[in-house]
Amino acid sequence: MMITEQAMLFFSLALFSIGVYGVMVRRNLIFILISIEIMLNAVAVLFVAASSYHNNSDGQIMYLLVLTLAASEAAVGLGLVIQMYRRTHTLDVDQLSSMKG
Amino acid sequence: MDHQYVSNLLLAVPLLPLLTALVLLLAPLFSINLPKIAISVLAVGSIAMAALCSLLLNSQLSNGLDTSFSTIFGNWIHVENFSVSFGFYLDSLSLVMISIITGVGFLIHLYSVGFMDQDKDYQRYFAYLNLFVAAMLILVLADNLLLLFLGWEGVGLCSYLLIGFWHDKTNNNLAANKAFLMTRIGDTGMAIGLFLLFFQLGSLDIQQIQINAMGLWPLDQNNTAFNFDMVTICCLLLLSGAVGKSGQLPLQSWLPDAMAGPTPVSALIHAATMVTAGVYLIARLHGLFELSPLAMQCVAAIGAITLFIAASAALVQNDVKRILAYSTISQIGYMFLALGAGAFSAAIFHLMTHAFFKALLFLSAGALIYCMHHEHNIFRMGGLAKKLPLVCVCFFIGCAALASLPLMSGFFSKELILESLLDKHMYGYWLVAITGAFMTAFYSFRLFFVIFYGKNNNEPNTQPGKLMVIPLSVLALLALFGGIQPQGLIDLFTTTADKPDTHSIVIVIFTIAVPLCAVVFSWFQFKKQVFGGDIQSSVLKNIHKFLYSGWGFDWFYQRVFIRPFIEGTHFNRNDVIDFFYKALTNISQWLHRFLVQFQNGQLRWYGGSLVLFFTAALTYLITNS
Repeated sequence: MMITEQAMLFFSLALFSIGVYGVMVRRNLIFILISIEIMLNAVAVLFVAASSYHNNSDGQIMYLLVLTLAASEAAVGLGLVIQMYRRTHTLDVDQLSSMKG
Repeated sequence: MDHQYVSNLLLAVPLLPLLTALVLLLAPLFSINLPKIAISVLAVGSIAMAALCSLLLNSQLSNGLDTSFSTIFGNWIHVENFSVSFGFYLDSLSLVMISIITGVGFLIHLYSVGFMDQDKDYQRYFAYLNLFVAAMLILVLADNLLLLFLGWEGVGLCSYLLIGFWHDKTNNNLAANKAFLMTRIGDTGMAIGLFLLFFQLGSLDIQQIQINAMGLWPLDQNNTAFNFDMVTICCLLLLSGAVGKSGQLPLQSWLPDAMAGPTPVSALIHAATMVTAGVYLIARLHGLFELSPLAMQCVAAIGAITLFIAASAALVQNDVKRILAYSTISQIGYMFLALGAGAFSAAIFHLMTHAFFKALLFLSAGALIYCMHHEHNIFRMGGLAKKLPLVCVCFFIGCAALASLPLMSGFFSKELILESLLDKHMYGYWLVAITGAFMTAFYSFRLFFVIFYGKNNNEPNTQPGKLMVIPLSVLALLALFGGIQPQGLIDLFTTTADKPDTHSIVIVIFTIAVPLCAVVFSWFQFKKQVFGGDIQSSVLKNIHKFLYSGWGFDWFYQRVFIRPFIEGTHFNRNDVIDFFYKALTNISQWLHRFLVQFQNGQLRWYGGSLVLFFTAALTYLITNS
């Protein structure tokens, strides 16, 4: 069964919107990080879909790149989160606002 | 003349005092404590060596066939066609000057060792005094006007430092500030004059300037009208510097206040050397000044008016140092008058004799003040002839030379000035000068009689020490027998001097008789107890007050310059230009308050605004593509 391009686009958009929604409404830093991963994967799915639509393997290579990027981003992000927790004993972003002007 | 030998001597003359001054100034910074005897030996020894060098130079120059000698030690500034070197120029004029500076300077240094013995700032005093001598030597030896200006400002600085030497008294600091600021007014004019001279003549070398000027602005012998041309402007600007430094009208009012400094300083700086720098400047540039009859006329007029005003002010003072200060202004007025009349050699001759007898007078006054519990008022002295016989003799010789009594050193130089005025047919100026001579003799013997005769008011508590007596005796001899005009000076200025006329015997006797009459008149007034007595008539009282204030120049300047300036600053207290900058800060502060709201540190706000922006931007791009 062929999946249509439109379905892929909608799927990707839905996934991205879920991610954005998560970033906006979640308080916990770890959930925000997970939401960002979801957004990244939405983009990756779009890459693969576009690659199969155009019969061009560039998008799939791009997907591999996004994959490594996501892995390293998760590693750095989680490290930062652990440090943040050690220092402030909270992961509530509403309280972590010491950078305000 | 061995070039290398003379050049080394010439370099040693200003360098010895300069190095000593640096050692004395810098030693405290490295926490080296010099013993008092070492300071004295260093300070006096360096000037003695410099004096020895100038003595050797004297013999070199009189033996040699050359009349001038110049040497360059290095390059100072070299920019395209503007080139200034560290070069010294020695001729009979600068030779006379360095002999006076090192010779009289040495005696005053020696005297200072005795005079300043008890002072806690002994080292600082000698550091400044040596620095002064070095700067003054650079001034007179410089072969270009910029180096001369360096020395000129150097002596101004030392004058400031030494007037305010006892800086824990406010009045001394105010006097120092006044001296510095008033000479600065003149120096500003002089600096502009230097720029203008370089702009016009393309050089600052003193000899080159005069040669170039003669080519550029030839003097029209037939044209007797006073033209206000470029050379006149240059000369008048230089004259303003000379007027400031030499305490001439209208910048003379700093000199009487400058007596706040130690007395040997007054003798060296404010009588013998620095204040005569203006006379030296004009004599040095005589080739330039002679090209402008108007400038020469100005020099003569300033000299004549100043000598009259200062002499009349000296008639009524009661502070011994202020009398001598006004007398210095008046005597420098004579020198300016002589310069203006073109009698340069007479002016320098008077400068020389004046250095001797005025240094003598100041040092004797210093000895008086030292022995009389720091008393300055002459009416609280009196009858000291028996108590301080040596000071009395020295003071008498000084007063006699100042009054130009016959056969004293001052007699020959003042006679020469009066004669040259007659030679040039400047009869009006001659009349002023002879009136001035009468007043000079009158006030100098008023001073002498009041201090040394009459009833005794105050006992001296000590006698001057040996170190003070020796310089006094040497200076007394110089004031007595120093009336020999150096031959080199006459040769240097021969081109300018006319052949001397013979004057009628009546005039000669008259000029000799005038000071004698003044002395006799002064004696009778003293016997009638006019000096220091109460004045009955209100008119006379006002005149006395007017003369006492030095013709009210301080009052006048206070009204015309200082008060309007202060009122102007009060008016402009909220600086007009500041409005613009204040508006600038206000705007940026307002913007800050507005924009800081967006930086609230809330992550969801940042995320929200990102999404909002990208959604809006994408929508815009898509709908417009």
